[in-house]
Amino acid sequence: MRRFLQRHVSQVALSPSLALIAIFLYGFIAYTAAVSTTNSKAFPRFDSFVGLEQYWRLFHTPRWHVAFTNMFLFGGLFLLVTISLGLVIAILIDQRIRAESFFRSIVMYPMAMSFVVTGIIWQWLLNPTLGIEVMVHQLGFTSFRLDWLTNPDTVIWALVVAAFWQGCGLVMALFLAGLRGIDEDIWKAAAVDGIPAWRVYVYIVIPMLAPVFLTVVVLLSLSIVRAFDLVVALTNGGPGVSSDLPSVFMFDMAFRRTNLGLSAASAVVMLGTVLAILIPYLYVETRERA
Amino acid sequence: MFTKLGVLGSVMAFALTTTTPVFAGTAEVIHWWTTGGEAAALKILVDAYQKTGNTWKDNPVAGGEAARMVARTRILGGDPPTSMQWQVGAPLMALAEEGQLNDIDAVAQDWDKLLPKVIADNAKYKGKYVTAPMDIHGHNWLWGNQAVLDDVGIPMPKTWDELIASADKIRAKGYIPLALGGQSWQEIFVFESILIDVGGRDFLTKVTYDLDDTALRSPQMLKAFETFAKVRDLVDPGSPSRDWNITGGLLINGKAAYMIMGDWLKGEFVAANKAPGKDIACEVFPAGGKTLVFGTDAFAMTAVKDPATREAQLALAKTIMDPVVQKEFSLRKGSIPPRLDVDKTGFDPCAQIAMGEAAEGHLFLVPDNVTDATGIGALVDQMTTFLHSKMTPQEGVTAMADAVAATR
Repeated sequence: MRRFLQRHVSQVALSPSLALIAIFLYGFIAYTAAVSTTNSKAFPRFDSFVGLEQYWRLFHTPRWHVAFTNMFLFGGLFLLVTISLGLVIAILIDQRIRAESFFRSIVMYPMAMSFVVTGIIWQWLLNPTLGIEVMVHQLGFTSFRLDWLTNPDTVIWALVVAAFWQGCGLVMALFLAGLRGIDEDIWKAAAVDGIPAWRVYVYIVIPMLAPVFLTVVVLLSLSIVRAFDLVVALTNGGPGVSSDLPSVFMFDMAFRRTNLGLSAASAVVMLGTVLAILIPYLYVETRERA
Repeated sequence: MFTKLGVLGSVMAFALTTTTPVFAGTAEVIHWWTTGGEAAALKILVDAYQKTGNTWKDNPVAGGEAARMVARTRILGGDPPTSMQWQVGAPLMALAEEGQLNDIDAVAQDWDKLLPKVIADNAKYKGKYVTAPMDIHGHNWLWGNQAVLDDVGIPMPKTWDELIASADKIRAKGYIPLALGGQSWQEIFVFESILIDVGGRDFLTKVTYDLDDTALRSPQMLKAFETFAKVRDLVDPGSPSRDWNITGGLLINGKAAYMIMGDWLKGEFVAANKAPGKDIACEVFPAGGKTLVFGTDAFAMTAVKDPATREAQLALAKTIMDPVVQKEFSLRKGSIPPRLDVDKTGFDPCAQIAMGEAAEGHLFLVPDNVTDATGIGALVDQMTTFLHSKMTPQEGVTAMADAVAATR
């Protein structure tokens, strides 16, 4: 007994959490997948097997197409804007400027806000009858228009702006940490060779930040798939259903439309999408290690 | 080994001592009436119930969706509350089909005579009452700011054609013709009233209850979409996604002439010292449509087994249907009582109109509580998508019919 424990202490210590993960993560994933093959309405019912019909239905639902496309649109724009501007801000702050901590705090503060608060702040700011538009009108520029929030074609930008405002601080902090970790000697060597600073950044420093990029992309991607509270607070999916995201769709189907089967199908498709992005990444990671 | 047993023993002892004791005559009720008039109305029920010698165990959850979710989870977990705020019709039947509701016929012998037929039918499962209806809220109300109407010099419109025709005059005076909160649940009231305007109660039934493909693609539907497309020009640029109470402010403060919203809007009038029926004119819209779309809050009676709790549950059902409770409750809530024998004195003119409609048999249960939620949901999604797009009416008709067809 004692020898068994000594030899397998790590397995024994890990087993409760493994069991929990097996049940509450993989167990419920399997459960959701099972529900998605049934015609469950308000309660899960396994006596109503319909095969893949819910998936057929899902892809014939116009609103799902909007939500699914939006995830990529919002995700792509959000990644692009947040990473590029976050990096630029980090580089600017890294110039040994005066009152650095002051600027750092300004960029970091929005992070302290929840997405719900962020959503409401931007809902007011972007509302064309009481926000920024009205303010600019009062300044005398009456032709100014800022109707992102009320125009179905641009509402995604409103989401991106709010998400960027909230998420930029974290990205900036990560990049700044990465920049501070870069050896001073590289800068000295570049200075000796007379290389302009922007070329050092583009060809040497930014490639060296590759691991930070990876961390940032993974963190932001997770927040994209999870994005729910921001949409609910900022637009509630509107105007119409034009700013719907899969998570909002899923919630709506499960709890407002009491259609657990269709909701579970959308959850499985979301999981599939995440896996489609993650598996190539994990594959590359594990091969590099081996 | 002994220590193991000891641990097991103490765990069991703990479990035994912490088992919740059951008191006789306690009804635990989940509801979402937590604010202002709602809470004042609920207090009438609670006080009346406590007077019967039973105990009301309050379990408020803010927000209808959250409350329903809590209730559903409790039921799934085998620990249902004694009763919970619910709606008559399909949502109730879904629970009944799962065997999650008790019948309360013991106290409901004469309810068939007291309630409008549509409510009685939708409160029963297999001919037995499983819920006690608390109120009636009408949806297709047109409200008009009387001061604005007088300033423009127009009467309350009777039809959609009249309403749209008056828009230019209203705009000329600098008002917004229609205050609309651009969220789908608010927009559907507008759309439903247009459906009544175009094809009456029968057409509304075919479209929203039957989701009938022929009706969805009919020339009448095209006409409805043509009218609905004009709504885009009746509203102000701030309309999309705006909350209903903020939108109500536009009407009350005299910035907008009309608004279409359920009668719970009256609460906002009262808070702003405006009298419904006088400062704010009201009309079931379109007038003469003989259709008042309504929803009914009802307390669902769960399948509790314990005899004492069962007694408490029956007592609760009886209290809810008490004529005095029904009247006093609705006076505070801004609704009308489901019981048809409650006298009209004390109710505001708009509520009296609604009570007249109910007596005439003009009630039309909100499609959400009748039709398959996925099917009507697809209709609502396309309705709101159309309103916020530049689609032509014909495109709108086709998109809606196709989306609804995909849910079959």
